[in-house]
Amino acid sequence: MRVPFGVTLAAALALLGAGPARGGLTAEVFRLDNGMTFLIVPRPELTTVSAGWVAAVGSAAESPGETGLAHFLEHALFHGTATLGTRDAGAERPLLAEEDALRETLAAGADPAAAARLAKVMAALSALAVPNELDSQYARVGATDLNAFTSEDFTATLVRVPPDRLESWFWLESDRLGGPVLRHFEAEREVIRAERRQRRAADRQLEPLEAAIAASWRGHPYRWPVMGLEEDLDGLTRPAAQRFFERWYRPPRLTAVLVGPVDRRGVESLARRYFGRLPRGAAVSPPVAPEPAPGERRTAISWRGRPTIHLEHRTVPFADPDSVGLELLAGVINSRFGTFQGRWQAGGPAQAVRANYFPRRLGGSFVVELEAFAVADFDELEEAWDREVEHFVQDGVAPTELERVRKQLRLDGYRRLEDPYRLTAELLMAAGRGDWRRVFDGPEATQGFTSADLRRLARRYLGSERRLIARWLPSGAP
Amino acid sequence: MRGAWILAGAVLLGWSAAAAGPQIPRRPEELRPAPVPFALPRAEAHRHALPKGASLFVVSDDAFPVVRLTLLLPTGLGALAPAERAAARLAARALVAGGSESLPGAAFDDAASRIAARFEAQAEDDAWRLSVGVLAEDFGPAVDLLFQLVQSPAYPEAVLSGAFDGLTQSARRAAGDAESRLDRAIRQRVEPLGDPRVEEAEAPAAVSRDALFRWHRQAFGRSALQRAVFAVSGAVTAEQALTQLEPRLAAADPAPESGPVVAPAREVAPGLFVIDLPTVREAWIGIGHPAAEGVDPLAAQVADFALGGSFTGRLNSRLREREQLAYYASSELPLRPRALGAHRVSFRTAPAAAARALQAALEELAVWSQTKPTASEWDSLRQGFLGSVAARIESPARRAEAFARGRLMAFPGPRFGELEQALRTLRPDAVPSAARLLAPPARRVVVIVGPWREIASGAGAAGIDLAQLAGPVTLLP
Repeated sequence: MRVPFGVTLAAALALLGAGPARGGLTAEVFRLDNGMTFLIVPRPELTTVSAGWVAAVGSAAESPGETGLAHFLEHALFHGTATLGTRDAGAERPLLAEEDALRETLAAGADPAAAARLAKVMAALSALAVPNELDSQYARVGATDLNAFTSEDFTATLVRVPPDRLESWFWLESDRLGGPVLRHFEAEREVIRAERRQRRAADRQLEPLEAAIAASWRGHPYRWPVMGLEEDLDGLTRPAAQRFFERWYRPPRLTAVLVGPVDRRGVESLARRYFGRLPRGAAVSPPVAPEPAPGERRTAISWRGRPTIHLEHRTVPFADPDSVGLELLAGVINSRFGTFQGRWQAGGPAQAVRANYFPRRLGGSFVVELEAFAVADFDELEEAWDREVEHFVQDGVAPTELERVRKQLRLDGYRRLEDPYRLTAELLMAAGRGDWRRVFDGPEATQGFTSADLRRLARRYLGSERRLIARWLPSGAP
Repeated sequence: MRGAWILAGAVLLGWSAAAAGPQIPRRPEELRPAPVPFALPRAEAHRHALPKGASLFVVSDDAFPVVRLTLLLPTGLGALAPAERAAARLAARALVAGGSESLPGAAFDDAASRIAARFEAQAEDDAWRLSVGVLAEDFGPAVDLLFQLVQSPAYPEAVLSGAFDGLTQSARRAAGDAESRLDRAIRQRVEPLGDPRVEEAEAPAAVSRDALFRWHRQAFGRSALQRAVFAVSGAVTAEQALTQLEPRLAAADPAPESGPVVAPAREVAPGLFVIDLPTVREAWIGIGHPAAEGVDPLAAQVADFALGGSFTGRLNSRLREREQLAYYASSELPLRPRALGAHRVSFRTAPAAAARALQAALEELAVWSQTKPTASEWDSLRQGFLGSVAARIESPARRAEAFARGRLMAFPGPRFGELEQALRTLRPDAVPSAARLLAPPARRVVVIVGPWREIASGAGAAGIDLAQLAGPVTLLP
């Protein structure tokens, strides 16, 4: 039976006002008393509601030795609560505690008696479990595409729900945010192992990229991969994941997003009733990230690909206005009719040059990849690239070329938002990085950047002061 | 305060009744949803007739200032003679890059780039597809450029040679890629298009520029274009789309009456086929069955959804949730012109666990074809299936194109807005009945791609005889 908590949660909601609108879309935002933010994009013409929440905490909040915990928790949060996922929460609770204690004992050394007892405990837990109940509850009401993802800065989950079953989303998500039970922890470790193996097999760039990021972000929590270091995976425990959840998954760090045939009044009422129950919790300082030491770093990495120079420049946080300009600068470098590609494609010193901007909450990466004809060309290629940047800082970009890139970015930006589920994901990610408004502003925001602005950005960010030069050598190259 | 919360999290002390409003039910099943109309759209409501027989589907949505136009032709690879397939594939690579007579090669690219128009062409199994995405303000010029490609392509020699190289390189890449090898090996055995003799005849270098123009005239000629189906979506009205398209099609000849080409059924040699890739770190497993005949299309789709169409499908529940053998396991049942396609299951696993995972998947296939869902499973299935269809067509571009494809292919069974009613008449025993027809063991082809030594040794350690499990083992080159 539910026992009233005894804390009166004021029903009043702090109205934060309507968000920016583009092309007929409106975004409305309100905040509950406990600090949880709701963002609503009403789209009455749709047949489903895409709904999700993001916790502004990711792998950057982990400590060395327990890397991968945020991602592990993302998985573990699918295994129920005291209500879902079990036949008897009361019988299960002491067994889970005993499992944790036995595993701690076994981690210290072999203990046949503990191992035998653990097998019995696991069998008893298995008999009490109702596997996959969160997914089943969603499937029962016709919800689809339940998914979750973790980054350095955030952990998010989203799903598509039929509009008449929207209350199920409020029930299920407030239930798991209110008190998840991290069952099947060992089984989930195996699933994560399979995920790691699958990702590595599918993407040959992953290992050299992780090595480059580790070198570029030395001393900073961005230096380890979101999925964690291989050597840390075995050491992650349920109590550690529980502590991580309790510390970080507090309403002030949570933002919910709903896109579809919803109205603000209805959502507010449900939000108040369900998520309003979550206590605000103690204030937690955001992860402290030291600024990586300035200076140029170098590394060489072997990989299964062509000889490539990977230049990684550390840049500004996502919410910084320069972040938009850096995306535009990457577009200028990649533009097929632009000055960069024109000079580098027609008999230039590289087979290909590509730029990418990766925004993050605490600091972005501007990456340039120079694909060489041969490893022997690396020195010459580096010098040629530095000269190219100097030219750009001096001359900038022609207005027609800039206009062309801006237009392309507008198109690409809007096309990313066309699918309501994708729009929800974009809003969750941007909220997790610190500024959801960027989603709607983004496609038009590059209009404000001139050639002079881009010259300034190139001078400031593409120099050698804050960059890593990683030489990716084909396996077997000297 | 946080200490208090920890206790609350454990024993649910924190779950007070709502501060305002009705009491929160103890379990989600107790929720009583208010009826909100949930209806999938009907394709016909979005259809507009174009001159002389062509069709246009428009899904207007002014949320963002973008428009997409897609042209689908019934000249998919399955509808072509082997010699024409290479031309169709080459055309898909060379049409956009080659530009038009008045704007050849880079000049076309330049013109498209000025209006940020993104053109894409694909030779698919069932359709040949050309599309353009553009900002709404540039819709007219983008349609101009698209029809230049259609009516007067350039196919310059330099672009063709680049396209030859591109096709050759992607074939080489596919030869070393486990996923592509699995796909090809399964298709060769259960899909009509997978015949290896056909692939030999498809060598792109055998296609001359003249042959390419002949193919293009045949595909896009004055009468052929009338069999095209157009899809337009985004910040555009039906009137605006018709204004752009009608005059361009008015001059064409009427099309002869014809439906989509139906691929022939084929005989299958069942068994287990292995492609040994010693350096690959995973085992890729596919279980295929050739297209079933005489099966109710809707029952077959719901049955496939039950098996592996979602995260809660039986395969994923078994392989991932219960046994942690795979990160994800799924099944698919493509729709082909007037027919269902070949049914397929696929998943990846650690090589040493491949035999165990295959055994578990085959057991699930057996259960699937023998037991009907319980009443509650059946409700979930129907709701989930309907939800998955809604999800697939939620974006305007996908919706318009799905409607267009439905028209072009004459897919079997009820579609979109007809589904809810049709699902009401379906019974739970339709699932095992359809499953038996979709995946008969006697016509089963299993393909494993990965490091064979590790896979075989894992099978030995688990006491599994792969030949007994999946049929005679054939090592493929």
